[in-house]
Amino acid sequence: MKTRIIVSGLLTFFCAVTFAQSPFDGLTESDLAEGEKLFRVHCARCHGIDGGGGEGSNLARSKLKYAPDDESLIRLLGEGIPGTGMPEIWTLDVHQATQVAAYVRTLGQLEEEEMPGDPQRGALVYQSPGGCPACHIVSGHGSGVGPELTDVGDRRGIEYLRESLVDPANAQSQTMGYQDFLTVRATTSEGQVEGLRINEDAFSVQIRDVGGTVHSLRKDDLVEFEKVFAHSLMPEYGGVLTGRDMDDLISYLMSLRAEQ
Amino acid sequence: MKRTIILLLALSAGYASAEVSFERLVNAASEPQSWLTYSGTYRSERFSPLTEINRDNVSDLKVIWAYQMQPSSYGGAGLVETTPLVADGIMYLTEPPSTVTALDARTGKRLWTWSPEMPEDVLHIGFPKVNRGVALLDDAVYVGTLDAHLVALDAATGAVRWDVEVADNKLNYSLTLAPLAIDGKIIIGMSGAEAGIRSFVDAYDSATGERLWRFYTIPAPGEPGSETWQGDDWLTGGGSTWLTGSFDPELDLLYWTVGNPAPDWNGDLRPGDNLYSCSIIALDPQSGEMKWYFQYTPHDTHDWDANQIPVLFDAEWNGSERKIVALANRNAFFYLLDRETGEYLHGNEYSKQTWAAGLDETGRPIVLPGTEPTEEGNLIWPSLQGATNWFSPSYNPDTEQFFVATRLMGAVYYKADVVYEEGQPFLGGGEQALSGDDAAGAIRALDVLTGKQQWEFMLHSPPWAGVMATAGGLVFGGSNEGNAFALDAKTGKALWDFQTGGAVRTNPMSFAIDGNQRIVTTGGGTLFVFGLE
Repeated sequence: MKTRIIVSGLLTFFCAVTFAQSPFDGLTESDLAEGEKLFRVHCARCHGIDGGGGEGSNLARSKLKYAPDDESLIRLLGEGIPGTGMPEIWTLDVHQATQVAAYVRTLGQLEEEEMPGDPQRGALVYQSPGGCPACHIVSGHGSGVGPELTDVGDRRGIEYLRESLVDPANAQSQTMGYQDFLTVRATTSEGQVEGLRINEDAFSVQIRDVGGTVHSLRKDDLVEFEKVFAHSLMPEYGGVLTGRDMDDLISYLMSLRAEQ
Repeated sequence: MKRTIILLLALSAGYASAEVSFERLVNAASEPQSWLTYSGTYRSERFSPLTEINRDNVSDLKVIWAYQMQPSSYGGAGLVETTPLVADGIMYLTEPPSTVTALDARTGKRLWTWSPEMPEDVLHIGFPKVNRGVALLDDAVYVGTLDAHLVALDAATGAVRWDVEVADNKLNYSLTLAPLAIDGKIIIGMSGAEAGIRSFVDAYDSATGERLWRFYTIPAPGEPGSETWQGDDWLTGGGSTWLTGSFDPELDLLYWTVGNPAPDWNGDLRPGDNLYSCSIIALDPQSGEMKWYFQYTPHDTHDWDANQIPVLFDAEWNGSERKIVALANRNAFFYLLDRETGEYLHGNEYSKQTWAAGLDETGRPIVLPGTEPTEEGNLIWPSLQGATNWFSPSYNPDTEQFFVATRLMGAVYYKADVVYEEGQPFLGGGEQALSGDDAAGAIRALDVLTGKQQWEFMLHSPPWAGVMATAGGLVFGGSNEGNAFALDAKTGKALWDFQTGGAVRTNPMSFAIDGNQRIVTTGGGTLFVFGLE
């Protein structure tokens, strides 16, 4: 119901701006309803049923990193975003992509998602001794063992980040793609390497161990190669951080965005 | 002026343009320095008899030249899935979406290029913007365009000879396949079933562009096969013909494969076997009359079209010599049929599937209950992209091995309501593919007469690239992760690999120039030509 009201509100918004040429000109309320339906089929799995983000980015924002204008939003639905988990959605024609894009923009009219805590205090939690920078980089600072977090607020949602901190193995098992961070163990005649898979193909694998050293191994040279599913090198912080610290840390992470 | 100079240089190197007669096409196997038609020969073996590059020296393979496709035609404009042809020292390839380019096969230098005007709103519902290559006949090059035109170009200059609109792209009719050239005729099939087209196979006069015949893959009421449809369902029945067929000049029969019925995933909207969807049809090339058909997947509800390459070979079968057509189907079964009569000879599972208990004595699948798409979702192997897809298999006639790039992946299939609207997706559901490390790929070698697996070479993810075997004892292939590689055909062991830097989505081919064998593949938007020297 909440969405419906917003949709109607946005229609008014569309109608009011009649001078500028927009790909959304002429769309009706039923177009937006259709866009919402298509969103649920194609987008909700990663971006959340309400677009609030999850494995995919939070779309309930007035500005989207990869879609500065409406045309680029429509285009990226058809083409995907190379180097990210966003695929090309070839089953949408231009009209349907326009309907979905228009619906996504309605999400941006929502009030900004309320943060569970205080991001400024969360920054202190992040920086606390032995904390996150030991493994993660933000804006060039820290150690790059785990994924870089400079724009993690663009890419993930609150609940996914909470899951990543409380139960990182489970959060990881929800992700898609062959190149995602996965713990692997590779045994050569000289010993064993355990770490995060940075990349892999049929002939080689690149692994970063917890010390930050990158190992590039030919699969021919491996005695054994094990993929460790539902496992993460990231410690579980559920029992380490207080509820308030956790909320503040998540709020800080959500504030890390390339496009403010 | 620039074009003239380039052509003069080409002339000075000893060639002007290709002149590919029908006789040369029939005897393509006897000139292994060329690659005259999409799958190498009319038998579609995708096999190179060249032996200069072999098991002993393939590890020395290096890049001889590379060609970067035009930035405007790569990326947003589509994906590179072309198989180049080589004749008389010139390579003819397509760049997405429908550009044709001629290159000096010795150096990779461009001789000419032709791009059609493409409407901005060109429809390609159900497939990316791709083109899989051209056909050569006499002194012309033939290409199908994304907006459903068939165009004849002068092989020497790229000038347009004729241009016909085959069907209306506003209804999602589109051409992505490499045409097949036979005696004075250009044969094509359509893409577009995901928007409910009624597909067909067409023949055109190679000299004039006049249409000679059309065979609709979805029969009209009263025609044979129409009893497998109800009401008006046939009007939007799909049955795309989007992959190049094979040809037997002695039997004078064309073998063409037919795609899924429409809508894809909601079979309730089209009760019946839905002939000739998911079938192979044998057509008389003179009249377009159908001689026989075999339906691999009756009443398909998983988008397992039969648009895979039919490979022709002859062998002794139960004591008598048979002309056979082999096909590794998207539905995860490998089939042998008598290609004179369409008689089912053999079928077996070659990749994981969970939808059928097997095939009965006529080759019809014994479908397991509860394997249809549902509103809640139903996990079935293979995924909608199938155990294999458009990319080519290869057959080595010397060792009787059939090689196929296989996708090891399941999917949750959904069913949904849909109403046909012109030029709109007509799908009736969808899938959510298993992903991450639950899915993988493999190059598999099968004994062609038993379908039994001899070996497999694992790939990191389900592939989108085909394979080519050679008389040098090798099988070439590619991966999504950018690997181009050569495997030992006896063991499946990798003997050479090269990181191209972009996903490999093409079928390898081979040719020779100045007596030196070349291996061709792509990575991303770059074409690579490998050799020993």
